[in-house]
Amino acid sequence: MKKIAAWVLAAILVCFLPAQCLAGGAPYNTVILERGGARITQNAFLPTGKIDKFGSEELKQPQDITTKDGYMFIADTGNGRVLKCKLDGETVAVYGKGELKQPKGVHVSDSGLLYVADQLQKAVYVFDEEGNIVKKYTKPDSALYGPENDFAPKKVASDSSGNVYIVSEGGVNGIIQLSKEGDFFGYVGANSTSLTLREVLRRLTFTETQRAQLKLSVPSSPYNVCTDQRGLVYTVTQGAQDALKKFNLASVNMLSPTSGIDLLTDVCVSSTEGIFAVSQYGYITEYDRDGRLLFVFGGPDDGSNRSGLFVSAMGIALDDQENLYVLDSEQGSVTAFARTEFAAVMRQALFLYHEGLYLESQELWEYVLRGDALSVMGHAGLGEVWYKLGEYDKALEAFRFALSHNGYSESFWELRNEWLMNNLAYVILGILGLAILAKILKTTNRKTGFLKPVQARAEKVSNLKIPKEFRFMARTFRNPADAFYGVRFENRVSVPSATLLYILFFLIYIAGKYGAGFLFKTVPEGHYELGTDFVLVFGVIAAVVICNNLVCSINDGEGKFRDIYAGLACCLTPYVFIKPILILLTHVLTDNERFIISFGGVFIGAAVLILVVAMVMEIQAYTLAQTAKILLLTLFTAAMLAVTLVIAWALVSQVADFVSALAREAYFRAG
Amino acid sequence: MRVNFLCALALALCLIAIPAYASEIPEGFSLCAENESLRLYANAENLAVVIEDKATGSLLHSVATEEGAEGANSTWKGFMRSAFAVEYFNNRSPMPERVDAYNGFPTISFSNAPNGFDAIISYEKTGITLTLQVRLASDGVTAQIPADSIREGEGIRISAVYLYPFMGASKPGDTDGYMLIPEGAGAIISLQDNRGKYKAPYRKRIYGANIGIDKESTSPGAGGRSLLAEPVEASVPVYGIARESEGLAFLAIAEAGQYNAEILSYPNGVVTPYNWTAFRFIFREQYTMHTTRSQGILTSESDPYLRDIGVRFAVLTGQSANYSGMAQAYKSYLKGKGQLPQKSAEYRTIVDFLGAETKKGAIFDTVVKMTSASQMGDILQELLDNNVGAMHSSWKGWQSGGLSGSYGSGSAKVESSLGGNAGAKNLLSRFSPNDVIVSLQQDFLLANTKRLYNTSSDIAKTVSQTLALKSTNAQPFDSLYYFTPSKIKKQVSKFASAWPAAPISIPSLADTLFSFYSNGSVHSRGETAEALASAISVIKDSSPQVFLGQPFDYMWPLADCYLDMPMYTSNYSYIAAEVPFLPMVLKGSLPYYAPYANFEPNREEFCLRMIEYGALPSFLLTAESPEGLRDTNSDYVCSSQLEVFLPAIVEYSGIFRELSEAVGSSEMSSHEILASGVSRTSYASGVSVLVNRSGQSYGDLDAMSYKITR
Repeated sequence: MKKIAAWVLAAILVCFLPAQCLAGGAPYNTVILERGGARITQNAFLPTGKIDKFGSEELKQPQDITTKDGYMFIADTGNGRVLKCKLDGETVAVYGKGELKQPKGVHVSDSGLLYVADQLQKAVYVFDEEGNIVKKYTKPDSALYGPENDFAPKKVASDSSGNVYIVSEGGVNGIIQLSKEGDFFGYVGANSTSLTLREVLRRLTFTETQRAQLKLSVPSSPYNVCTDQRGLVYTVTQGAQDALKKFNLASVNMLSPTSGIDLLTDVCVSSTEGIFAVSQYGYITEYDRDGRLLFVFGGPDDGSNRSGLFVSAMGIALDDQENLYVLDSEQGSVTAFARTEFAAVMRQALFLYHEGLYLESQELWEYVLRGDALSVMGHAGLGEVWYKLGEYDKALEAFRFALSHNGYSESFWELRNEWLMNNLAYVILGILGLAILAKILKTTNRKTGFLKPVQARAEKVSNLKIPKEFRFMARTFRNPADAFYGVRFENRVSVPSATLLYILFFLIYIAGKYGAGFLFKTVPEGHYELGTDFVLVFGVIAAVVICNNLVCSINDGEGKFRDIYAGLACCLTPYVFIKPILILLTHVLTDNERFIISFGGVFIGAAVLILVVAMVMEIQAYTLAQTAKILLLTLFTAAMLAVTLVIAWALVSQVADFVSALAREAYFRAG
Repeated sequence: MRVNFLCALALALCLIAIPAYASEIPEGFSLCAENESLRLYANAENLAVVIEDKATGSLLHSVATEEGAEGANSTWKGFMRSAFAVEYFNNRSPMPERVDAYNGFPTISFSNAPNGFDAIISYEKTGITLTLQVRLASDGVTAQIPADSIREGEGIRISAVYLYPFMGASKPGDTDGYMLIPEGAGAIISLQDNRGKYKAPYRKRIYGANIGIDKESTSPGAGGRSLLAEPVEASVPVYGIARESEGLAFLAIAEAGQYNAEILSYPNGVVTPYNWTAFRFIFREQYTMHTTRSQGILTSESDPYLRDIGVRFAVLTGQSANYSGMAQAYKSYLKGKGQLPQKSAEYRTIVDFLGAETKKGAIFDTVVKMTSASQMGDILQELLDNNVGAMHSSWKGWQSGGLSGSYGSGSAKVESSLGGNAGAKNLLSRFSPNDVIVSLQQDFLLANTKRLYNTSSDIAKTVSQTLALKSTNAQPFDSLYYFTPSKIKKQVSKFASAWPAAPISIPSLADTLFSFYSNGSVHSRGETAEALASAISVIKDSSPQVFLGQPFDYMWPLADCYLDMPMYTSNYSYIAAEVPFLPMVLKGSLPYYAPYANFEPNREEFCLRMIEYGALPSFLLTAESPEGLRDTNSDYVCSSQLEVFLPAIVEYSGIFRELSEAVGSSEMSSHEILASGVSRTSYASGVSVLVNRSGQSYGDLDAMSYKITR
């Protein structure tokens, strides 16, 4: 008899592994959402079985599930009861038959009491293990609760000190928090509303009667609630931007907005603080304790009955071995999932990482990266390890792969520091040496004139038309009035020179966008859109020149089209001459010195704006007030031009569509 | 004395049991034909047949009884009671209507024929006429409708035909047993009462969905990527039903017309109380004719895909009345037709390499180098030094420009950063064929949409004349075109002349079948199958070894190796067990390999599954870290470093070499499920392999272990 060794696996990892064996296939791919997209990775959970018969019992529109000490409890809403089943599906007890009418939420407290939220009876019932009702929570009489507010409990949870958290259907104030005795403590975790621009405009402009007819903007009601071991409350809300929330004791959400998955119906938390949520469509998501999405798996069943996919997933629960149980309300079934080796190690590594035990997590992260070399989380984790170990170059690489700006910045700072420590003296010596060399050359040249031929040649080149004009343009910022006078009356900047400067501007723009240092780059690496950039840059230049010329020519402007074309080129000189220096700086600066780059950017922007104003004033002979008006008109005209182009494009494509549809239809009828 | 008593008891039990199973020949049936083992009875009214196994007297019925069909509506009642059914479109409605031996009031003219009967069926109202020919064969019964007998009236378009859909059908409680479907490597659906648990039937097109018609399913997914794993395809045109209580089973083989047919398998409670499985032969496809980008008209093809259709019901009794027997029946059927090649049983591990991938660059696409020719040679040498033994190794993404960028380029040039043509030639000749057979992987089917093509003749279009697209579910190339078979053949010839005598691995020609529109006419799936097979045979003539990815059965004669055999099904909840039907057909004839072990989350279970199925292991390696594959179409290759997989390759090669030596070239004679997750696979040589994939020990067999016995 032979046993198959779990290869790849270091012995130390064995303790984190799921105990049971897993069946092989999954009807879904597991993806990681990272860098604004999704990537397929190793499966995190695999379906191990689908239970649709619970002993002799069947479910009817069940709405909630929870687990405790090796049993699962299911709110069998349609049958008005709660089933207690073994994890393999065998029913061992039925609670509340005849007493419950619409049990929509179940929860079992640490002490083993079963809480059932019955929406129809507007009460939360508490059962002991024998099935006797030991407590009933009804609408609190406290004035703070608000006598107008309905009490229709659909989900329930409790914490270790016996506080009860109730989601009431349509309750916009948040989760109702009651004491063990039933006293109203207050609301927890209300959602907020946000005003859209449209809403603001309506409120500003409507009459009182019209305002009264507007729908009240109320926050969404939470959909489900759970608590963790530390008593923190988690909620999911459907249709809200931040669907998943984790509240601290002060009722402040601790998660940054979580994205991607809509219509979450349930949430549960593992002992290692992994957060699991399920959406109605059947997508199951695992988050780390800070709400970073780790894995998405599962999905909607297209009617082909594949286990692991869902028609309407309404509940999720975790057992002590961290197996997942997902309840499908339509199918009346529970699907069990078990964690794979890969995901188990990832979870443990994250746990250590969050605890700050970076060095201890090293082997685990290395294991994660062997399973998924592209894992952002893995590289970030290992980056921290290298940083702690002082291996900054490795940390830098890892953080760069993980797109972790903070980590990268800190590692880079350390590396730069080290380099400066080692090389500063040489750099200073080098600069001194160069200065002395220059001095010597100058003196010798003065005496012997050995550089004369070179100098003569350089002078000849610099007196050629284009270099000369470039030198003229470079002086724009020093004396704008002179420069634009030169442009208009002395023809000091020719069209080819201006065109060359625009091309240079475009090249520097491209270099700045794609060639900036990692910390200062705004587009993802490996992402290029040169065509769009080209259209954008030259489109804006063309629009400004054309629109400005149009507006000026009907407003008694004196400048010619050529003047504006050349003048605008002069205005861009601060960008052309300063931006390259900033681009170089982005490669040696860290987040700590970010202000230098920001300041440089602001400086360039202001300089260009000032020059544009000066250019219009000088070339068109306007006053400052006229100039301001003309510039606004230019912007407006450019916007109109854009709108016209969009409309024209839409019309042309509509006509093309119509002609092609006609042709297809004719072909189809004839055929 | 005691023995006599037991005999008497057994006899008595038999006498009690027989009336329950082997009922009388029902009224209305008369004997049509008889051979050594079987009798065929037929009913002239609805053309139903009863097949009697002479040895046991067991009867196989082909339609539901009148009482059995009670309660169904007239459409279903007629269908359940008929030997055939015809679906057709009429001009008024885009949805098909169905007629059978009762609905539509056909005139049936029944005549006896040698060894069976002929029946001309005609519907006056619709003008549909066809001839059903049923014959008793030595192993069972064949039913056929010749193409030239099919007529349709004005404005009537036949869409599909069923032949004996209720053959062997049962209600819960009638009998124990199961229905075999060609899902994955094989799966069974239990005949037990499932109390209405399942809402949808198993419905799958044989040889995969038709890209010429079917829109690829798209689900909202997450982050722009679909999460659904594509369901596995049905790669053989067979199904079977085992009625265990009667000791009777049959395997149905679609002998003719199989290229465009579906397998429908209805567990009890889905629409009817019966468990039934049938072929649905498709003559016309229903599709949406797009008139604008978003709108279209639901319509059906004007010309039918007219061809003979036929089913062979191979009857199995006694020890053979199970899925092992079905596999043996199919094996001998294929052997009889010369469609099962006999290939070397020598064991080799597959270690494939990814050469280079295409990444989007600023202006031009760039190439990410993963494994050069010399690196690949060095790693293979290292594996040989580690006693991995003989290997097959195919190099993918060797093409100039990298894997996904090169789709459709037609160039047979090797990427220069991988060592160029010279490097590749060195690699091909570096190892003795006894050690490593190096092959080049080339996808002749797919074409990168960024290139320019002659779309009227070279790119397959759907019937509604849009370019057919294959979604890759990845970036930067999110979809690819399909070449037409004529273009594929040209590409294959070009490749064969550029790389004569090089072994080749073809991942996608043998596992894709489609009808398409090109140059003004629609080409059927049958034509495509023939054309693709002839394209592969071009390379077969020059290449010493041709490896095919998941080949459909009509491609088996062209394969030296079957790659990527699915080890799992698509997780349909009505599947009672997964069984090695394909392995039992192929073992001893064509070596077959499991998908890459790299991406299996569950390596122990996967390895045991391979041992149980007799499938051989394969791996994918890269010399460089797969980190570089970020933002490429191969970003699913997230784990492929030698240092990660070396221990596994060494271990697996040891396990499977030992297993292969024990089994030799003998066939897999049977497979039994002993308990959940525990099975015994027996070979003709007398070797059997016990595998326990469950979490509990079974007898003296520990959990997650296996044992070879003689």
